[in-house]
This record gives sequence, C-alpha cells and structure tokens, in this order.
Amino acid sequence: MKKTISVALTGNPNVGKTTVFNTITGSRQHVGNWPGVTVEKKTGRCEYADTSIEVTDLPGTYSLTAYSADEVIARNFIIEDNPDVVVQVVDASNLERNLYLTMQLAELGRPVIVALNMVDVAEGRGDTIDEKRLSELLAMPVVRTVGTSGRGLDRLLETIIAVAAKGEKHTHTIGYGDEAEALISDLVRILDDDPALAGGYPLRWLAVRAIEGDSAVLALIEKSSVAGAVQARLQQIDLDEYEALLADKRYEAIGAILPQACTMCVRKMTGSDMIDRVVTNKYLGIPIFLALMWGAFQLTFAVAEPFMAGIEYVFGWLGEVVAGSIGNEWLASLLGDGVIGGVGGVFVFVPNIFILFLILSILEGSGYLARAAFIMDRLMYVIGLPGKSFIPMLMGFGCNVPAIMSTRTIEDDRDRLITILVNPFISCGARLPVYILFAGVFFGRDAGNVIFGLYALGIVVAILSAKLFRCTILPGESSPFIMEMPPYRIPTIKNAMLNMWEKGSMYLKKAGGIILIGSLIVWFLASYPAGVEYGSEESFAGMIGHLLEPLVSPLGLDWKIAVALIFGFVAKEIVVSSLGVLYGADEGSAALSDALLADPALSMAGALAVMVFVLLYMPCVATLGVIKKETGSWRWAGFSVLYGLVVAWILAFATFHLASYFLGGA
Amino acid sequence: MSEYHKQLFAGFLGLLYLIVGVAALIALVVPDIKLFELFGISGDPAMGFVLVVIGLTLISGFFELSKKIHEGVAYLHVGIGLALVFGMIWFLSVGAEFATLAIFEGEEITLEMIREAIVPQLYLAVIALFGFIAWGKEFSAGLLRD
Amino acid sequence: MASCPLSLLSAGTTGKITGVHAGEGLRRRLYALGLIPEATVTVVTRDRGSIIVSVCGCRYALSRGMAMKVIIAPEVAAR
Ligand SMILES: Nc1nc2c(ncn2[C@@H]2O[C@H](COP(=O)(O)OP(=O)(O)OP(=O)(O)O)[C@@H](O)[C@H]2O)c(=O)[nH]1
Ligand SMILES: [Mg+2]
Repeated sequence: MKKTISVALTGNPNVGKTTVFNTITGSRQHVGNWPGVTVEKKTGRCEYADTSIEVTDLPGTYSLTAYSADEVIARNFIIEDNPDVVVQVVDASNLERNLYLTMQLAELGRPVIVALNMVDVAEGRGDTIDEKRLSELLAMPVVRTVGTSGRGLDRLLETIIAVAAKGEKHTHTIGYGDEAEALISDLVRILDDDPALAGGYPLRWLAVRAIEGDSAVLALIEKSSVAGAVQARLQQIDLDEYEALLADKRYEAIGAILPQACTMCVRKMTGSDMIDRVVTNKYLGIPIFLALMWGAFQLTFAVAEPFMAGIEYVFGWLGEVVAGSIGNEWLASLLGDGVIGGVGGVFVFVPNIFILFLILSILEGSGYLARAAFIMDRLMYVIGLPGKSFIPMLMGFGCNVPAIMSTRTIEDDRDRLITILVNPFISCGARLPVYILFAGVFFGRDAGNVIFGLYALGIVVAILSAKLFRCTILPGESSPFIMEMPPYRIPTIKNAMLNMWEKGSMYLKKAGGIILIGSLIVWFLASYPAGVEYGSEESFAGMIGHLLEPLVSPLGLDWKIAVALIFGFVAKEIVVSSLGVLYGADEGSAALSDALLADPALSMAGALAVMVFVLLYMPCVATLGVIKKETGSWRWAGFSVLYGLVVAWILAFATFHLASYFLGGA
Repeated sequence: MSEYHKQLFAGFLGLLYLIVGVAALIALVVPDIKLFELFGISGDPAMGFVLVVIGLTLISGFFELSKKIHEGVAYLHVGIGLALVFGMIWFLSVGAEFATLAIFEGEEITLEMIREAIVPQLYLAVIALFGFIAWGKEFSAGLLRD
Repeated sequence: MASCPLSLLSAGTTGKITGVHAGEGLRRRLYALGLIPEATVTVVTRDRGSIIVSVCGCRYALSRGMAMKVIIAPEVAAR
C-alpha cells in the first residue's frame, strides 16, 4: 500500500503559501497580494515518487499565538492535528521577521522544513542566500522555491518525503539565557508530573508558551493536575519582563544566523515606496481612489457591450427557432418562456460579471487593496471600525460570501460582527443584472450615473448602519490595528484571467443550475392551474403576487415584481430571470426590456424603487448561510434579514415618492 | 539634468490635465463653448474630476522636484501611470462602442464619430506615453512581478 | 534625543524603539511583527490619522491608537 504523508503549509501572511499549494496539488485556491487571503484550511493531494502527500494550506500567521479567527485555525491545525511534516513557507526577501515563526515552530518538536519562497525577488534585488549554511544553522532542511513558476517545488516534495521517512523530530532549539532557562526547566519538571500533558505536547514548548502567557496553553494547564504548582512558580516572576526577554532572544538568534547565511543589499527607496507616497497622500489619496473606482466602473459597463449584444443576438435567434419549430405549445412555452426567457435574461450579463471579477482580481494582485483600507482608515475610525474592515467591503463588490469570510482577520469580535452585518449592503455582482436591466430600460443615457449612485447608496447605508450598530447594540471603540502593506506587484495576465475565470464560472454554473430551476418554478407558477392565461393574475404566480401586493404597492410596484423579489431571495439574479419568465420574454433580454417599458404599472420612479429595494432588501441564501456560520448563530442571520427588509422598504418608499415628485410621477 | 526634464514634463502635462479637467467642469454649467468643442471637451462631472486628479498629481511632482525633493519623481511616475490607465479605459470603451455599432447594429463608423471620440483623456494620454517611454523603465524596474 | 510615541514623528524620520506600552496580547503581536525594543523604524507616510512605517524591510500600517503605544527614540537627523 502507498504511504500517505500529511503536510501542513504554514508561514506568515502573503508569503506565497497558497501559490505553492496550488502548484503542488493542482488546485485553484484564491491567491492575492494582501495578507489574509486564505482564511480557512484547505486540503489537497499530490502523488510524487510513489508517495501520496496530503497537503493542507493554512491561513497566514505571524506567530503561534493566535489573535484572530483565521490564525486560530492555522495554529490549531499545527498543534492539534499532528501533521507529519510542517513546511514553513518563508519570504526570502524578508527573512528576519519570517524566521521568528521558524524559531517558534522549532520548539514544537515536529519535523520542520523551510521553503525559501520568492527567491526570485530576493535574487532580483541582489541578495544572496546560502541555503546550505542556513539549513545547518537552523538545523532544518531549507529549500529554495518560487511558487509562481514552480521552481524548486520538486526538491521541496523530495525533501518532504525524505524527512517523513526519517521521522526525526526537530530537537534543536534556541537557548533563552541562564535565568530563563532555569525557569523553563523548573516548569518542565512540574509539567512532567501530569502524564496527560507529558504525553501530548512537547513540554519545553508548553513551558515557554506558559511564560509568554499564551491563553490557550494556560487554559490547557488550568485543566491539568499540576495547575496549582505551575501558577505558584509563575507568580514568583515578572512575566512581562520574561516575555520581552524571550522575544528578544529569538531575534538575537535570528540576528546571529542571518549574517552567516546571507548578504542583503542596501535598500533604496523602492517603487513601492514611491507609489505609496502618492496614493496615500493626505489630499490626493481619496481622490485617486475614487477616480480608480469610477474607472473600474466605466470599464465594467462599456467594454461588456459588444459581448452582451452578441449573447442577446444568440438568445434572440434561439427564441425564434423554438417558437417556429416546436409544435407542442406546452413545450414551446416551457423552453421559450421558462428557459430562454429566464436563463437567457441572466446570461446576457455574464460579460459584465467577468469584467468585474477581472478588475477586482487586478486590484487584489497589485497590492492596492491594502492601501485602500489605509486611505479609508480615517473615515472608518469615525464610524467606529478599524481600517481593516474596508477590505471586506471592497471584496463585497464581487460576492458577499467570500467577503464575509474575509472578516476572520479582524481581531476584535464586535468589530468583526459589525463588519459582517453591514456587508450585505455592499452591492455584489449578482445585483448588477437587475440594475443594468432597469436602469438601461428606464434611464437610457443616464443609466451609468444611476447605477453608480446605487453602488454609492449601498456603501452609505453600510456605513450608516455600522455607525448605528456602534451606537446601539454593539457599543465600543474601534480597536487599534496594525496591518501589513504588501509590496506592489504587477499582476500577471495569466493570474488575473485564471482568477476571473474561477469566479466568473461560478456565475455561469449558477445560471445553469439554481437560476434555471428558479425560472422553471416561476414558469410553472405562471402557467398553472391548467387553463389560465400564461402569466395572468389568475395563475398561481398571480395569486402569490396579489397576496403581497399591499406590501409593495406603496413602493410603486405591482404583483409581478413582488413575485420576482420573493424568488430573488435565493439568488438576486433570479429577480431578472423571474421577470423574464413572467413577462414571457422568450426572445431574450431585449424582449424583456421592451415588455418592461410597455408595462403601464412601471414608471421611472418605480424602477428606481425596485433597484433600491433589490440593493438592500436581504442577503441571498448563500450569504445568509455564511453569516450564520461566521457569527455562530441564526440570531444574527435573522437579524440581518429583518434589518435589511426594514431598511430596504423605508428607502425604497422614500425613493419612490421623492422620484415621483421630481420626475413628475408615473 | 534629467531630473530637471522630469520636473518640466510634470509641470507641463499636469497643467494641461488641470486646465482641461476644469474646462470639463465649466462646460457642465456653461453649455456650447466653441473653443471647448474644438478640443473635444464636453461637460462631464466624472471625467472632469478624473482629469483634475491626474493634473494635481503631476503638479505635486513639479512642486516637489522644484524644491529639490528627489522623491517628487514618485508623483510624476504615478501621474503618468494614471494618465495611461484612464487613456486606456477610454480607448477600450470607445472601441467596444464602435464594435457594437458596427457588428450588431449594422451602422457605419463615420469620420465624425471618430473625431468625437478623440477627447482629452485620450490625446493627453499620448503625451503621457512619451514620458512613460522615457522613464517608465527606471520606475517599473523597482516593482515586483508575479 | 528624548523618546516619544511613534505617532508624533514626521515622515522620513528614523528611530529606535525603546518600549512598547501595550497590553500583553498586543505586545506579543507587535514583537512577532518585528516591532521590538532596539528595532529601527522609519516612518514612511503620516499624512492622516494612521501611519505607515517600515521595519526590517516590511511596511505596516498602524492606526493612531496603535502608534501611540510604540515609544521611539528618534535619530538626530543628519543635516
Ligand atoms: N515573485 C514571486 N511572487 C510570488 C511567489 N509566490 C507567491 N507570489 C505572489 O505573492 C502573493 C501572495 O501569494 P499567496 O499565495 O496568496 O500568499 P499566502 O501566503 O497564501 O497569503 P495568505 O493566504 O494571505 O496568508 C501573490 O501575489 C503571489 O502571486 C514567488 O515565488 N515569487
Ligand atoms: Mg493563502
């Protein structure tokens, strides 16, 4: 039988762990040039030289002490899941800080391999690293790798297999000086009395962590039989002093190792520093950010146009074929009204979605994302959130689900909860089709401005809600934060395209899956009970719609929109596909536009109200699920639905009446 | 010497962007100014804003360089970068529009339409391109690639 | 020169950290990031509330609250 080796990939944030993971296992996990991209452990397999290797990619962490939810995951996996080999991916262009974690991993008593990643960057700068010497000094294998090109990864796999075969635990640790060592050996002796602890963990590591006041380790000791003795010993000393001492000694050890193994070039002002000087400038920072956002927005709409026209053309043709060639009326309606009317209506927006994701991925890959958070820090401070919270907001433009997951890097629980709760107001890609449809139909040349306004409204509502939560249910101050600013990189076309395809194809799958099903259900509701006129008020859809009409009529909307909104809860694109089905737009989206324009029940003001309502009304099913998962309770998920509905209704109501007044009514 | 060239370039291009950007904002309020039309400037708040931002970035570079602050080149480089990015955005947008018209709506692209598409965002970016050709290498050499 | 909080330094100044006055959790984090006593810090930008510093080759953004906790002895400028 083949052997299976379990390997954990750990390391500081943004050093290329996921890049290495993807290349080794052939996965397509999300890579981005900012710290905190990966927030969950991901497992993949690879076969190399008759061995099966199970690799787990972990969130980045600066040390083995966890501060945020993602770091807890990384730490727990290494400590509790006992991987056979721990590979620390290290940024070779930034050794000093990276080796701090190495020093801590060394104490764990596990086989550790150092993957010197990004050596291309270090070499390009003129640094030289003697990995043999470094390996001797650290007493662990060191392999040079370049995650992006795959250079050195075979060597890495060979080393993993060799190390696992030897099964040698790492024993070489640094000394902390006489005084601290005396304390450590005292603690080790005490801890050794508890067989449960002695069996499960390296005692030296436990002792060191206890001195450093690691709360998880202290809790572990608390439960053991030697709790009293440990407490008594720790009480005799000034822990603060020791903690600083330990950190100091680690850096001292690093400082002793580095000059023997590498030469670093003198750093000049880099390109990154130059860009930072400008884009974080007091006066220019925010204007440049806004200008870039507007540019991104412009691209999303303008460039998609010919592609959309092409797709529309194809669906229009399909509709004609179906109408002309299928004799069976029932089947023709199912295919024409249900499938083409519904799915086709959503399909046209695929180009917009792809371009949106392409732009977001360039934004992420360049490193500007972290700067945007920095620029917005002042504003975020005013509403009582750390600047970091801005990153999930920007991610939300793509999809709220990963955006909400990315809040795991926020250390403070309340900050995090608020950031999660306001995220659904950030307009995700799925809502775009609704805007493009309605704004395009009713506002013609001004469509772009209307849509830009909706995005802005989403942000404003998110920010005001955050402030409201801060003042009421989740009081507190924004906690001080520190965030790494990655160096700028020129994103590769290949990476950006892959990223775009990965996310965009999810949208395609959704169109072929859940949206198709939704469309068929709406078609069924619109066609039955048997004998009614298709999509008339006597059909099931009509009945449901009329039940809800009193709720939406103050917003200037009729029963068809009400039905579409109900189904839009599953996924917001379904609002468009449902309307396509209900209006029987079997010639694609152009037909739907005409039908909407012809409907006397809809006005410009009504169209605005629909868009505002769709923007705000409630998180979709997937988002709701992730809110539940990340907050740990249905309570907050339920809260976000209710709050969203109330806000959406009030604002849509206000929009409708204001717009009716200014635009001259229906 | 070359620093002096950079300073001049930043000042010159920055001033152009600023003037044209302000003009686009003025055109919002005062319609039909013949001179503006000649230069393809029409009232557009977003465009005006973008042009002004690029202009201010470049001019900041001019001032820093004239104060002999070497780091001022950063503004020049980023300013040129922004100019090129927005020039490209316009280029792609117009290209897409023409493609839609020509392929799906069977319209002919007339000379008049092309003339209308030549706006400051585009022709100023061509000037910026010269700056990029001259100094782009030294700047992007300091950046990392994936 | 006397020590002062990091948040009071102007852009371009370099100095040595003399102390980190934070609760133990926070301090441990700063240590792991390389913000330890004796480390050399350069302020890159400080135009707004928060600042960007450079420590042993890494750039960090610190909110003002955080920057108040790091005490630093500025190097006397060369000129
Ligand atoms: N030049 C160069 N860039 C690399 C290399 N490896 C990764 N990168 C880039 O570094 C950035 C970060 O890569 P990720 O793989 O997302 O890093 P990570 O360690 O998984 O980051 P987190 O999940 O946030 O902890 C991306 O922009 C990569 O393209 C490398 O060997 N050389
Ligand atoms: Mg990752």
